[in-house]
Amino acid sequence: MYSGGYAGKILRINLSNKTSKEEWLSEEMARDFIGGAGFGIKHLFDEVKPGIDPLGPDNILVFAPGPFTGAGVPCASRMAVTGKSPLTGAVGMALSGGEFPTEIKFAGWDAIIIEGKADKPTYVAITGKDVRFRDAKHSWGTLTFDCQQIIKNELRDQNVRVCCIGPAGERLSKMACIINERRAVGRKGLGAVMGSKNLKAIAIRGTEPVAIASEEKYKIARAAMLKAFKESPVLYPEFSHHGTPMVTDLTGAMGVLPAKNWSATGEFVPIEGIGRDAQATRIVGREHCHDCPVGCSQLKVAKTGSYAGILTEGPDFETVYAFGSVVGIDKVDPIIAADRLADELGLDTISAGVTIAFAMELFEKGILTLDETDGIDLRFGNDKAMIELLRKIAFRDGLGDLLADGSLAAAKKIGKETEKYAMQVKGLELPGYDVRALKAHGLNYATSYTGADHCRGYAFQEVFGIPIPWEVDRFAIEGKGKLTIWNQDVRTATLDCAPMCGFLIDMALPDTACQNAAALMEAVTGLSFTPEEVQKVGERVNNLAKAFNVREGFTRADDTLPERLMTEPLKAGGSKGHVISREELDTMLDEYYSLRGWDVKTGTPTREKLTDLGLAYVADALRL
Amino acid sequence: MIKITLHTILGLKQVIGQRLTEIDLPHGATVEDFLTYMKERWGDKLSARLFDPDSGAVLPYVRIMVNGQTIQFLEGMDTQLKEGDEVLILPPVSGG
Repeated sequence: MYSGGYAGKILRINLSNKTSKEEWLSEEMARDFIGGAGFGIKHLFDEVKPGIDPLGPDNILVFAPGPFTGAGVPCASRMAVTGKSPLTGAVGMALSGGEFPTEIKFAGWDAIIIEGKADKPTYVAITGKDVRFRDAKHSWGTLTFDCQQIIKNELRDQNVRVCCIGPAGERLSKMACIINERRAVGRKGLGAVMGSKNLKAIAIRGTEPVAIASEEKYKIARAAMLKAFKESPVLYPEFSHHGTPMVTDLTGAMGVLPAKNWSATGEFVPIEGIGRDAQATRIVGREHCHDCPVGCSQLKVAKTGSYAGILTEGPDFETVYAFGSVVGIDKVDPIIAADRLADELGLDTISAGVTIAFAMELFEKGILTLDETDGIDLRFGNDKAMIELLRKIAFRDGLGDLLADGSLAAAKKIGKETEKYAMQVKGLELPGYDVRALKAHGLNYATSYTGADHCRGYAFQEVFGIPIPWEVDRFAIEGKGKLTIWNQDVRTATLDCAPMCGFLIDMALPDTACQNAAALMEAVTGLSFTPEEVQKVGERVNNLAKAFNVREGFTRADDTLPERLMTEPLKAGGSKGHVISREELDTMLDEYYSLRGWDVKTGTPTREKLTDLGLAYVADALRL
Repeated sequence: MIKITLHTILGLKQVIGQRLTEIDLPHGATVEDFLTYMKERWGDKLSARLFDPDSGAVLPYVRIMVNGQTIQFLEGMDTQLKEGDEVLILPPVSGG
């Protein structure tokens, strides 16, 4: 039995009848799923019936940190939030750092499960075992930063940690996120799930320390991590000072920074305006997640025009892409302003930016006219239009209502064969890597259980050239199924279930991610794990998530890419001429399914594979 | 002579002073010849970012691409350069 790390208890909150109860965390659950996304997806599969409305009372939301969270392990103040995504209809899982995840552990919980629907706007205040259902009449309707302050004042506790939704979540925008402090549980519309439950916020406070099974082993494991951090050529020398925006320079140079709704990658490369050096001119400080020695989050203040004085935490690379290159913007200050506004409105920056880029392309092609854009000149590069549209999306005003549920939903409403301009997979908008020249990254976009999600199987071998587990040719097709499985399983286990920060693991421990997690499991929880067993947790969770999607009706046909990526070669830049053809994608999918032990024709996990992973009951549920 | 374009980013760009630099090299020059040229032109400041001080080899985390392809998948340091080639030298980057 575990003797540290885990609190041993899960808190289940029912909003419909305003009750809460404690549930015991079994050793089997801890061993098979570790925590984070593992716990979330296990509860999702077991408790959510097929075909339910993601925005109805039958959906659940699971907030799950991991066994290392709050135990002093660097880069482990992370939590996964899991539910059925209203944006994709598939598993919705997104992670966030900050202080909130640690506070869940300090309050004595390994996970919080939210179910049902409150009869009126509500927030839940948790202090240790005490759970209160409070009227959200003062905070409903407010922006996320103000909401957090209002709740802190109401609870007379300035140190309580709050996660909440903004106007976008209240209005059920399927691009709505959940904000804690200045950080986001960003993707897949989980903010709308909170909104659908009339749940404005969760406030949490705890004082219980997290037990450690073996102080001696813990010291050794922690020291090994910190040593690896120090030896990284990039972590302290670059990343702690600049954070993720340096990836803008890299992807721009490689010709894979998507631009103008993916129509001008390699042609429009605004590095001088939005890259690392431009971003650095706006830095005024930095923030650290709990127990993180690095502090990659940069606080920046815009300096010019109507944006002067606006502060944001970030923008991270993905937001630089989403409010920069993909909407044709080549200046840093509008991106800072849009990042802050999206956080306040509670909107996912990637989906919002890419959906605005979609609308901009339609406008430039004459498919959307000034009459349909509420008079907004929606050409690429119009930063004022982008800012105005963000507000309209969050408040579902005019054109904003059309776009509020993402690019695919908007394309379906508009018709006129506009789906080909919606840059999404399974409804989730594409992150900032043009995968026409990063083939494993493309296969991951197609196969990730959450839709086009760079976080699930990030091919750092192709993007950063890290030769682990082997050297990878980014243009090659052969071997990308095997590589994608390795990336998805290792990252799922170590970054999503543990959960730990992907940036730090990639930069310092890419070759020992599973060994590191195994050593920490033994030291912190007392459960002995081999690196192979850690990786198997990742495989188990990916199979279970896939099974959830299969049960919802997803097939091989959904594991695809936007038509543009398969038919329009890159026109310029360092990756000119590259494309992922339909045939190439099929070749990679065949290899991927085959090595996964899934049915190649349908993309469904087989009974044999599920049984091997201890998931025979899942095979029964799927009637395999 | 052939004309090639050197493309650098981040810290390497700061040493070289610009993102894109046109360079003339003799016919038949290889990537190794090009790196020797760079060492001579930009001196110790650049060497510290590119080469192991003991062995003189390119640091393991520095990536060199010719026309977008990593040289490990071409002919390595023996990769021959030709007129119009773009050589991209990437320092370690991570994040995303």
